[in-house]
Amino acid sequence: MKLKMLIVDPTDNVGTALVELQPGDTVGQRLPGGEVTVVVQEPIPYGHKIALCDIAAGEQIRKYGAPIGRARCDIRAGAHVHLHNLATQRVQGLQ
Amino acid sequence: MTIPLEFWGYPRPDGSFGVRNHVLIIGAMDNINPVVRRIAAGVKGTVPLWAAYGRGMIAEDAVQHERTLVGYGTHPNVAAALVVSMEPQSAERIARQIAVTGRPVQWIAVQQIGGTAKAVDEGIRLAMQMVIDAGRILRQAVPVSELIIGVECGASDATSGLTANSATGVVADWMVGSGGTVVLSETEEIIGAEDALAARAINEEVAHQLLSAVRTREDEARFIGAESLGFGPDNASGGLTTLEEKSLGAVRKGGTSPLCEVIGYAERPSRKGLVFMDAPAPGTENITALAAGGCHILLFNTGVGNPVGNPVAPTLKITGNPRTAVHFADNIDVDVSGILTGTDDLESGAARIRQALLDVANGMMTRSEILGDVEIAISRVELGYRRARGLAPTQLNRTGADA
Repeated sequence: MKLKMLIVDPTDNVGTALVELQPGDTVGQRLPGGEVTVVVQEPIPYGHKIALCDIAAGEQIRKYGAPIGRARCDIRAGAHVHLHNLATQRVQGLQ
Repeated sequence: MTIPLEFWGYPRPDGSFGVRNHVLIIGAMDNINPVVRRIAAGVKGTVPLWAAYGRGMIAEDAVQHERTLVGYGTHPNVAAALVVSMEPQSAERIARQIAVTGRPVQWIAVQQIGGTAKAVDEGIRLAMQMVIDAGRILRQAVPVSELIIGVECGASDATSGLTANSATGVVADWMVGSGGTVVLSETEEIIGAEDALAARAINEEVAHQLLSAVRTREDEARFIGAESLGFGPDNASGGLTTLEEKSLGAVRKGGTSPLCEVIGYAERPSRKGLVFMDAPAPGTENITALAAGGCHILLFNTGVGNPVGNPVAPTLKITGNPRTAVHFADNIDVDVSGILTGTDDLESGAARIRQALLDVANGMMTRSEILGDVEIAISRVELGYRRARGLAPTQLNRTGADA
Protein backbone atom coordinates (compact mmCIF):
# COMPACT_ATOMS: atom_id res chain seq x y z
CA MET A 1 0.00 0.00 0.00
CA LYS A 2 1.21 3.47 -0.80
CA LEU A 3 2.30 5.38 2.27
CA LYS A 4 0.25 8.58 2.72
CA MET A 5 2.51 10.18 5.30
CA LEU A 6 6.13 9.67 6.36
CA ILE A 7 7.68 10.16 9.80
CA VAL A 8 11.48 10.20 9.37
CA ASP A 9 12.54 9.78 12.99
CA PRO A 10 10.65 8.43 16.04
CA THR A 11 11.35 11.67 17.96
CA ASP A 12 9.71 13.86 15.27
CA ASN A 13 6.48 15.69 16.09
CA VAL A 14 5.62 16.34 12.42
CA GLY A 15 5.18 14.00 9.46
CA THR A 16 5.41 14.70 5.71
CA ALA A 17 2.34 14.25 3.48
CA LEU A 18 3.13 11.94 0.55
CA VAL A 19 -0.30 12.59 -1.00
CA GLU A 20 -2.71 15.52 -0.57
CA LEU A 21 -4.31 14.85 2.80
CA GLN A 22 -7.98 15.76 3.35
CA PRO A 23 -9.74 16.67 6.61
CA GLY A 24 -11.03 13.54 8.27
CA ASP A 25 -8.35 11.23 6.78
CA THR A 26 -6.60 9.08 9.36
CA VAL A 27 -2.89 8.63 8.71
CA GLY A 28 -0.35 6.70 10.71
CA GLN A 29 2.94 4.90 10.82
CA ARG A 30 4.34 2.08 12.91
CA LEU A 31 7.41 3.29 14.78
CA PRO A 32 9.75 1.52 17.23
CA GLY A 33 7.79 3.03 20.15
CA GLY A 34 4.38 1.93 18.79
CA GLU A 35 1.91 3.07 16.17
CA VAL A 36 1.39 6.83 15.67
CA THR A 37 -1.97 7.83 14.17
CA VAL A 38 -3.48 11.23 13.64
CA VAL A 39 -6.74 12.57 12.16
CA VAL A 40 -6.14 15.23 9.52
CA GLN A 41 -7.75 18.57 10.54
CA GLU A 42 -7.28 20.60 7.36
CA PRO A 43 -6.06 20.05 3.79
CA ILE A 44 -2.30 19.32 3.75
CA PRO A 45 -0.63 19.76 0.34
CA TYR A 46 1.76 17.13 -0.99
CA GLY A 47 5.19 17.38 0.66
CA HIS A 48 3.92 19.61 3.48
CA LYS A 49 4.01 18.83 7.20
CA ILE A 50 1.30 17.65 9.57
CA ALA A 51 1.41 17.90 13.40
CA LEU A 52 1.47 14.43 14.96
CA CYS A 53 0.40 15.67 18.40
CA ASP A 54 -0.68 18.92 20.05
CA ILE A 55 2.29 21.31 20.06
CA ALA A 56 2.32 24.32 22.42
CA ALA A 57 3.43 27.79 21.31
CA GLY A 58 7.20 28.10 21.71
CA GLU A 59 7.77 24.35 21.65
CA GLN A 60 10.42 22.92 19.30
CA ILE A 61 9.25 21.28 16.11
CA ARG A 62 11.31 18.26 15.11
CA LYS A 63 11.91 16.49 11.79
CA TYR A 64 14.85 14.19 10.87
CA GLY A 65 15.23 13.78 14.65
CA ALA A 66 16.41 17.39 14.97
CA PRO A 67 14.78 20.78 15.66
CA ILE A 68 13.65 22.66 12.55
CA GLY A 69 12.22 25.65 14.45
CA ARG A 70 9.65 26.66 17.09
CA ALA A 71 5.87 26.81 17.08
CA ARG A 72 4.66 30.41 16.63
CA CYS A 73 1.33 29.49 18.29
CA ASP A 74 -0.47 26.44 19.68
CA ILE A 75 -0.76 23.79 16.99
CA ARG A 76 -3.38 21.03 17.15
CA ALA A 77 -2.64 17.43 16.20
CA GLY A 78 -3.54 16.96 12.52
CA ALA A 79 -2.96 20.64 11.61
CA HIS A 80 -0.89 21.90 8.69
CA VAL A 81 2.56 23.01 9.92
CA HIS A 82 4.17 25.65 7.72
CA LEU A 83 5.19 29.32 7.56
CA HIS A 84 2.09 30.52 9.50
CA ASN A 85 2.86 28.51 12.67
CA LEU A 86 6.54 27.46 12.46
CA ALA A 87 9.44 29.92 12.85
CA THR A 88 13.14 29.43 12.20
CA GLN A 89 15.50 29.65 15.18
CA ARG A 90 18.41 30.62 12.98
CA VAL A 91 19.43 33.80 11.15
CA GLN A 92 17.29 35.75 13.63
CA GLY A 93 15.03 38.37 12.23
CA LEU A 94 15.22 36.91 8.76
CA GLN A 95 12.81 34.87 6.65
CA MET B 1 25.99 -7.35 -8.80
CA THR B 2 29.66 -6.41 -8.91
CA ILE B 3 30.26 -2.70 -8.93
CA PRO B 4 33.06 -1.71 -11.31
CA LEU B 5 35.96 -0.07 -9.53
CA GLU B 6 37.41 1.48 -12.66
CA PHE B 7 36.35 4.01 -15.25
CA TRP B 8 37.80 5.07 -18.59
CA GLY B 9 39.60 8.37 -18.09
CA TYR B 10 41.86 10.71 -20.07
CA PRO B 11 45.38 10.95 -18.57
CA ARG B 12 46.71 14.47 -17.90
CA PRO B 13 50.32 15.61 -17.59
CA ASP B 14 49.74 16.61 -13.92
CA GLY B 15 48.77 13.02 -13.00
CA SER B 16 45.02 13.58 -12.89
CA PHE B 17 42.46 11.84 -15.12
CA GLY B 18 39.54 13.47 -16.89
CA VAL B 19 36.10 12.10 -17.74
CA ARG B 20 35.96 14.56 -20.66
CA ASN B 21 38.55 15.84 -23.11
CA HIS B 22 37.48 19.45 -23.48
CA VAL B 23 39.41 22.22 -25.18
CA LEU B 24 38.34 25.17 -23.06
CA ILE B 25 38.00 28.72 -24.37
CA ILE B 26 38.32 30.90 -21.26
CA GLY B 27 37.15 34.50 -21.12
CA ALA B 28 39.25 36.42 -18.60
CA MET B 29 36.79 39.32 -18.40
CA ASP B 30 33.27 40.02 -19.57
CA ASN B 31 34.10 42.57 -22.28
CA ILE B 32 35.48 39.86 -24.57
CA ASN B 33 32.78 37.26 -23.92
CA PRO B 34 31.35 37.67 -27.45
CA VAL B 35 34.77 36.65 -28.82
CA VAL B 36 34.83 33.57 -26.58
CA ARG B 37 31.35 32.53 -27.70
CA ARG B 38 32.20 32.98 -31.39
CA ILE B 39 35.42 30.95 -31.17
CA ALA B 40 33.62 28.12 -29.37
CA ALA B 41 30.75 28.23 -31.86
CA GLY B 42 33.27 27.96 -34.68
CA VAL B 43 35.26 24.98 -33.40
CA LYS B 44 33.60 21.66 -32.59
CA GLY B 45 35.19 20.04 -29.55
CA THR B 46 35.62 23.29 -27.65
CA VAL B 47 33.63 24.51 -24.64
CA PRO B 48 33.21 28.23 -23.88
CA LEU B 49 33.76 29.47 -20.33
CA TRP B 50 32.58 32.99 -19.83
CA ALA B 51 31.28 34.84 -16.83
CA ALA B 52 30.15 38.31 -15.82
CA TYR B 53 32.74 40.74 -14.37
CA GLY B 54 36.50 40.18 -14.29
CA ARG B 55 37.35 43.79 -15.06
CA GLY B 56 38.17 46.31 -12.32
CA MET B 57 37.80 43.83 -9.47
CA ILE B 58 40.00 44.25 -6.40
CA ALA B 59 41.45 42.36 -3.46
CA GLU B 60 39.89 39.03 -2.47
CA ASP B 61 37.12 39.50 -5.03
CA ALA B 62 39.66 39.61 -7.87
CA VAL B 63 41.69 36.75 -6.40
CA GLN B 64 38.63 34.51 -6.18
CA HIS B 65 37.55 35.32 -9.74
CA GLU B 66 40.96 34.46 -11.16
CA ARG B 67 41.36 31.36 -8.96
CA THR B 68 38.08 30.11 -10.41
CA LEU B 69 39.16 30.67 -14.03
CA VAL B 70 42.51 28.96 -13.39
CA GLY B 71 40.64 26.13 -11.64
CA TYR B 72 38.74 25.54 -14.87
CA GLY B 73 41.83 25.80 -17.06
CA THR B 74 43.58 23.16 -14.94
CA HIS B 75 40.49 20.94 -14.48
CA PRO B 76 41.04 17.21 -15.09
CA ASN B 77 38.32 17.27 -17.77
CA VAL B 78 40.24 19.91 -19.72
CA ALA B 79 42.88 18.80 -22.25
CA ALA B 80 43.97 22.27 -23.34
CA ALA B 81 42.93 25.87 -22.91
CA LEU B 82 42.82 29.06 -24.91
CA VAL B 83 42.66 32.18 -22.72
CA VAL B 84 41.04 35.27 -24.22
CA SER B 85 41.29 38.65 -22.56
CA MET B 86 41.01 42.28 -23.52
CA GLU B 87 44.63 43.03 -22.68
CA PRO B 88 47.75 40.83 -22.63
CA GLN B 89 48.62 41.06 -18.91
CA SER B 90 45.65 39.14 -17.54
CA ALA B 91 45.61 36.68 -20.47
CA GLU B 92 49.28 35.86 -20.03
CA ARG B 93 49.00 35.64 -16.23
CA ILE B 94 46.11 33.16 -16.35
CA ALA B 95 47.73 31.14 -19.14
CA ARG B 96 50.96 30.89 -17.15
CA GLN B 97 49.13 29.39 -14.15
CA ILE B 98 47.46 26.81 -16.40
CA ALA B 99 50.76 25.96 -18.12
CA VAL B 100 52.22 24.91 -14.73
CA THR B 101 50.09 21.75 -14.96
CA GLY B 102 51.70 20.80 -18.29
CA ARG B 103 48.55 21.40 -20.33
CA PRO B 104 48.86 23.03 -23.73
CA VAL B 105 47.70 26.63 -23.35
CA GLN B 106 47.61 29.67 -25.60
CA TRP B 107 46.35 33.22 -25.08
CA ILE B 108 45.12 36.07 -27.16
CA ALA B 109 44.42 39.71 -26.24
CA VAL B 110 41.72 41.40 -28.27
CA GLN B 111 43.25 44.91 -27.91
CA GLN B 112 46.63 43.71 -29.10
CA ILE B 113 45.31 41.65 -31.98
CA GLY B 114 43.11 44.45 -33.33
CA GLY B 115 39.48 43.79 -32.51
CA THR B 116 36.77 41.16 -32.47
CA ALA B 117 36.98 39.79 -36.04
CA LYS B 118 40.74 39.28 -35.97
CA ALA B 119 40.61 37.76 -32.47
CA VAL B 120 37.90 35.31 -33.49
CA ASP B 121 39.86 34.41 -36.63
CA GLU B 122 43.08 33.77 -34.69
CA GLY B 123 41.23 32.04 -31.84
CA ILE B 124 39.53 29.61 -34.22
CA ARG B 125 42.86 28.70 -35.80
CA LEU B 126 44.54 28.09 -32.40
CA ALA B 127 41.56 26.16 -31.00
CA MET B 128 41.36 23.92 -34.09
CA GLN B 129 44.91 22.75 -33.57
CA MET B 130 44.23 22.14 -29.87
CA VAL B 131 41.22 19.97 -30.72
CA ILE B 132 43.30 17.98 -33.22
CA ASP B 133 46.02 17.42 -30.60
CA ALA B 134 43.52 16.56 -27.83
CA GLY B 135 42.07 13.86 -30.08
CA ARG B 136 45.30 11.89 -29.72
CA ILE B 137 44.78 11.45 -25.97
CA LEU B 138 43.21 8.02 -25.41
CA ARG B 139 41.06 6.91 -22.50
CA GLN B 140 42.57 4.32 -20.18
CA ALA B 141 41.32 2.28 -17.22
CA VAL B 142 41.56 4.36 -14.02
CA PRO B 143 40.56 3.44 -10.45
CA VAL B 144 37.37 5.19 -9.29
CA SER B 145 39.41 6.42 -6.32
CA GLU B 146 40.74 9.10 -8.72
CA LEU B 147 37.28 10.63 -9.01
CA ILE B 148 36.14 13.76 -7.21
CA ILE B 149 32.35 13.98 -7.11
CA GLY B 150 30.49 17.17 -6.21
CA VAL B 151 27.05 16.88 -4.63
CA GLU B 152 24.50 19.64 -5.01
CA CYS B 153 20.81 20.25 -4.57
CA GLY B 154 18.78 22.99 -6.20
CA ALA B 155 15.11 23.94 -6.17
CA SER B 156 14.70 21.63 -3.18
CA ASP B 157 11.36 20.54 -1.82
CA ALA B 158 10.18 18.18 0.87
CA THR B 159 11.02 15.14 -1.29
CA SER B 160 14.69 16.17 -1.68
CA GLY B 161 15.80 15.21 1.82
CA LEU B 162 13.59 12.14 1.93
CA THR B 163 14.63 10.62 -1.40
CA ALA B 164 17.22 11.99 -3.84
CA ASN B 165 19.56 13.44 -1.19
CA SER B 166 19.36 10.27 0.91
CA ALA B 167 20.05 8.03 -2.12
CA THR B 168 22.90 10.31 -3.22
CA GLY B 169 24.26 10.02 0.32
CA VAL B 170 24.46 6.26 -0.16
CA VAL B 171 26.44 6.84 -3.39
CA ALA B 172 28.67 9.36 -1.59
CA ASP B 173 29.45 6.76 1.08
CA TRP B 174 30.26 4.22 -1.65
CA MET B 175 32.55 6.76 -3.37
CA VAL B 176 34.43 7.51 -0.13
CA GLY B 177 34.53 3.80 0.72
CA SER B 178 36.12 3.15 -2.70
CA GLY B 179 38.89 5.62 -1.92
CA GLY B 180 37.44 8.54 -3.86
CA THR B 181 36.48 12.08 -2.90
CA VAL B 182 33.09 13.70 -2.39
CA VAL B 183 32.69 17.45 -2.06
CA LEU B 184 29.68 18.75 -0.14
CA SER B 185 29.10 22.50 -0.19
CA GLU B 186 26.39 25.19 0.06
CA THR B 187 27.34 26.80 3.37
CA GLU B 188 23.96 28.39 4.11
CA GLU B 189 22.34 24.97 3.60
CA ILE B 190 24.37 23.60 6.48
CA ILE B 191 22.78 26.08 8.92
CA GLY B 192 20.86 24.00 11.43
CA ALA B 193 22.74 20.80 10.55
CA GLU B 194 26.29 21.98 11.23
CA ASP B 195 26.69 20.42 14.67
CA ALA B 196 26.01 16.88 13.41
CA LEU B 197 28.39 17.41 10.49
CA ALA B 198 31.09 18.94 12.72
CA ALA B 199 30.78 15.95 15.06
CA ARG B 200 31.95 13.78 12.12
CA ALA B 201 35.09 15.91 11.54
CA ILE B 202 38.38 14.01 11.73
CA ASN B 203 39.85 16.57 14.13
CA GLU B 204 39.13 19.75 16.06
CA GLU B 205 40.59 22.01 13.40
CA VAL B 206 38.28 20.69 10.66
CA ALA B 207 35.27 20.94 13.00
CA HIS B 208 36.22 24.50 13.88
CA GLN B 209 36.65 25.48 10.21
CA LEU B 210 33.19 24.13 9.37
CA LEU B 211 31.44 25.86 12.28
CA SER B 212 33.31 29.06 11.60
CA ALA B 213 32.29 29.01 7.91
CA VAL B 214 28.63 28.66 8.93
CA ARG B 215 28.88 31.40 11.58
CA THR B 216 30.52 33.75 9.10
CA ARG B 217 27.78 33.15 6.52
CA GLU B 218 25.06 33.87 9.10
CA ASP B 219 26.89 36.94 10.33
CA GLU B 220 27.35 38.20 6.78
CA ALA B 221 23.61 37.81 6.11
CA ARG B 222 22.85 39.94 9.17
CA PHE B 223 25.56 42.46 8.21
CA ILE B 224 24.16 43.06 4.73
CA GLY B 225 20.54 42.99 6.01
CA ALA B 226 19.52 39.96 3.94
CA GLU B 227 15.83 39.18 4.33
CA SER B 228 16.29 35.51 3.64
CA LEU B 229 19.21 33.19 3.29
CA GLY B 230 19.28 30.16 1.05
CA PHE B 231 15.52 29.83 1.02
CA GLY B 232 13.37 30.53 -2.03
CA PRO B 233 9.61 30.75 -2.56
CA ASP B 234 9.70 27.44 -4.49
CA ASN B 235 11.25 25.76 -1.40
CA ALA B 236 8.29 26.98 0.68
CA SER B 237 5.61 25.97 -1.82
CA GLY B 238 7.35 22.57 -1.99
CA GLY B 239 6.60 22.12 1.71
CA LEU B 240 9.84 23.28 3.34
CA THR B 241 9.31 25.87 6.07
CA THR B 242 12.64 26.76 7.65
CA LEU B 243 16.29 26.84 6.68
CA GLU B 244 17.03 24.25 9.38
CA GLU B 245 14.58 21.86 7.76
CA LYS B 246 16.11 22.42 4.32
CA SER B 247 19.63 21.97 5.71
CA LEU B 248 18.87 18.72 7.53
CA GLY B 249 17.61 17.33 4.22
CA ALA B 250 20.45 18.88 2.22
CA VAL B 251 23.39 17.45 4.20
CA ARG B 252 22.08 13.93 3.63
CA LYS B 253 23.52 14.02 0.10
CA GLY B 254 27.05 14.03 1.57
CA GLY B 255 26.46 10.64 3.18
CA THR B 256 27.74 9.62 6.59
CA SER B 257 31.54 9.53 6.14
CA PRO B 258 33.95 11.41 8.41
CA LEU B 259 34.54 15.02 7.33
CA CYS B 260 38.21 15.17 6.27
CA GLU B 261 38.76 18.74 5.17
CA VAL B 262 37.15 22.17 4.76
CA ILE B 263 38.26 24.07 1.65
CA GLY B 264 37.59 27.58 0.40
CA TYR B 265 35.71 28.68 -2.69
CA ALA B 266 36.95 26.90 -5.85
CA GLU B 267 39.90 25.30 -4.05
CA ARG B 268 41.09 21.77 -4.79
CA PRO B 269 40.68 19.14 -2.06
CA SER B 270 44.11 18.13 -0.76
CA ARG B 271 42.82 14.82 0.63
CA LYS B 272 40.48 12.05 -0.34
CA GLY B 273 37.24 11.31 1.50
CA LEU B 274 34.38 13.69 2.34
CA VAL B 275 35.34 17.34 1.95
CA PHE B 276 33.30 20.50 2.57
CA MET B 277 33.69 23.53 0.30
CA ASP B 278 32.67 26.89 1.77
CA ALA B 279 30.70 28.38 -1.15
CA PRO B 280 27.27 30.01 -1.63
CA ALA B 281 24.31 27.67 -2.14
CA PRO B 282 22.42 28.95 -5.22
CA GLY B 283 22.70 26.20 -7.84
CA THR B 284 24.63 27.89 -10.63
CA GLU B 285 27.01 29.65 -8.25
CA ASN B 286 27.64 26.53 -6.23
CA ILE B 287 28.36 24.17 -9.11
CA THR B 288 30.58 26.87 -10.62
CA ALA B 289 32.70 26.65 -7.45
CA LEU B 290 32.56 22.85 -7.18
CA ALA B 291 33.71 22.35 -10.77
CA ALA B 292 36.47 24.97 -10.43
CA GLY B 293 37.62 22.96 -7.40
CA GLY B 294 38.23 19.98 -9.68
CA CYS B 295 35.02 17.93 -9.31
CA HIS B 296 34.85 15.56 -12.29
CA ILE B 297 31.09 15.04 -12.14
CA LEU B 298 28.29 16.75 -10.24
CA LEU B 299 25.30 14.92 -8.75
CA PHE B 300 22.61 17.58 -8.76
CA ASN B 301 19.39 16.72 -6.94
CA THR B 302 16.33 18.74 -7.69
CA GLY B 303 12.91 18.67 -6.08
CA VAL B 304 10.81 21.17 -7.98
CA GLY B 305 13.14 21.32 -11.00
CA ASN B 306 16.34 23.27 -11.71
CA PRO B 307 17.63 22.87 -15.30
CA VAL B 308 21.22 24.21 -14.99
CA GLY B 309 24.37 22.20 -15.78
CA ASN B 310 28.08 23.02 -15.67
CA PRO B 311 30.12 23.41 -18.89
CA VAL B 312 33.17 21.44 -17.66
CA ALA B 313 31.90 18.98 -15.03
CA PRO B 314 29.05 16.85 -16.44
CA THR B 315 26.00 17.47 -14.26
CA LEU B 316 23.61 14.60 -13.52
CA LYS B 317 20.09 15.70 -12.61
CA ILE B 318 18.37 13.48 -10.09
CA THR B 319 14.87 13.89 -8.71
CA GLY B 320 12.89 12.05 -6.05
CA ASN B 321 9.70 14.00 -6.75
CA PRO B 322 7.25 11.88 -8.80
CA ARG B 323 5.67 14.99 -10.31
CA THR B 324 8.99 16.56 -11.31
CA ALA B 325 10.09 13.22 -12.80
CA VAL B 326 7.20 13.53 -15.29
CA HIS B 327 6.71 17.29 -15.61
CA PHE B 328 10.44 18.11 -15.84
CA ALA B 329 11.47 14.83 -17.52
CA ASP B 330 13.56 16.43 -20.30
CA ASN B 331 16.08 17.64 -17.73
CA ILE B 332 16.12 14.60 -15.44
CA ASP B 333 18.85 11.95 -15.85
CA VAL B 334 17.91 9.72 -12.92
CA ASP B 335 14.42 9.36 -11.46
CA VAL B 336 14.43 7.96 -7.92
CA SER B 337 10.84 8.98 -7.15
CA GLY B 338 10.06 5.28 -6.79
CA ILE B 339 11.47 5.60 -3.27
CA LEU B 340 8.26 7.49 -2.41
CA THR B 341 5.87 5.58 -4.64
CA GLY B 342 7.19 2.20 -3.52
CA THR B 343 8.81 0.87 -6.72
CA ASP B 344 12.33 1.69 -5.46
CA ASP B 345 14.04 1.72 -2.10
CA LEU B 346 17.04 3.77 -1.03
CA GLU B 347 19.51 1.06 -2.11
CA SER B 348 18.00 0.45 -5.56
CA GLY B 349 17.69 4.21 -6.12
CA ALA B 350 21.33 4.65 -5.09
CA ALA B 351 22.39 1.80 -7.41
CA ARG B 352 20.85 3.60 -10.38
CA ILE B 353 22.54 6.89 -9.47
CA ARG B 354 25.88 5.05 -9.13
CA GLN B 355 25.42 3.36 -12.51
CA ALA B 356 24.61 6.69 -14.15
CA LEU B 357 27.68 8.21 -12.49
CA LEU B 358 29.94 5.47 -13.89
CA ASP B 359 28.30 5.68 -17.34
CA VAL B 360 28.91 9.43 -17.40
CA ALA B 361 32.51 8.93 -16.21
CA ASN B 362 32.96 6.55 -19.17
CA GLY B 363 31.64 9.09 -21.65
CA MET B 364 27.83 8.99 -21.66
CA MET B 365 26.58 12.55 -21.97
CA THR B 366 24.22 14.00 -19.38
CA ARG B 367 21.06 15.75 -20.47
CA SER B 368 22.51 19.15 -19.60
CA GLU B 369 25.56 18.38 -21.76
CA ILE B 370 23.32 17.32 -24.63
CA LEU B 371 21.27 20.52 -24.19
CA GLY B 372 24.52 22.51 -24.28
CA ASP B 373 24.42 24.21 -20.86
CA VAL B 374 27.46 26.44 -20.33
CA GLU B 375 26.27 28.85 -17.63
CA ILE B 376 28.64 29.77 -14.82
CA ALA B 377 28.37 32.45 -12.12
CA ILE B 378 31.49 33.28 -10.11
CA SER B 379 30.49 34.49 -6.64
CA ARG B 380 31.46 38.01 -5.65
CA VAL B 381 33.19 38.48 -2.32
CA GLU B 382 31.46 40.87 0.12
CA LEU B 383 34.58 42.99 0.64
CA GLY B 384 32.88 45.56 2.90
CA TYR B 385 31.82 42.84 5.30
CA ARG B 386 35.20 41.14 5.36
CA ARG B 387 36.97 44.43 5.96
CA ALA B 388 34.52 45.47 8.71
CA ARG B 389 35.11 42.19 10.52
CA GLY B 390 38.85 42.11 9.83
CA LEU B 391 38.55 38.64 8.29
CA ALA B 392 41.42 36.78 6.70
CA PRO B 393 41.37 35.89 2.98
CA THR B 394 38.67 33.39 1.98
CA GLN B 395 41.28 31.00 0.64
CA LEU B 396 41.91 28.34 3.27
CA ASN B 397 44.11 25.90 1.43
CA ARG B 398 47.09 27.69 -0.07
CA THR B 399 48.13 24.62 -2.06
CA GLY B 400 45.37 25.41 -4.59
CA ALA B 401 45.92 27.42 -7.76
CA ASP B 402 46.98 30.89 -6.74
CA ALA B 403 46.75 34.20 -8.49
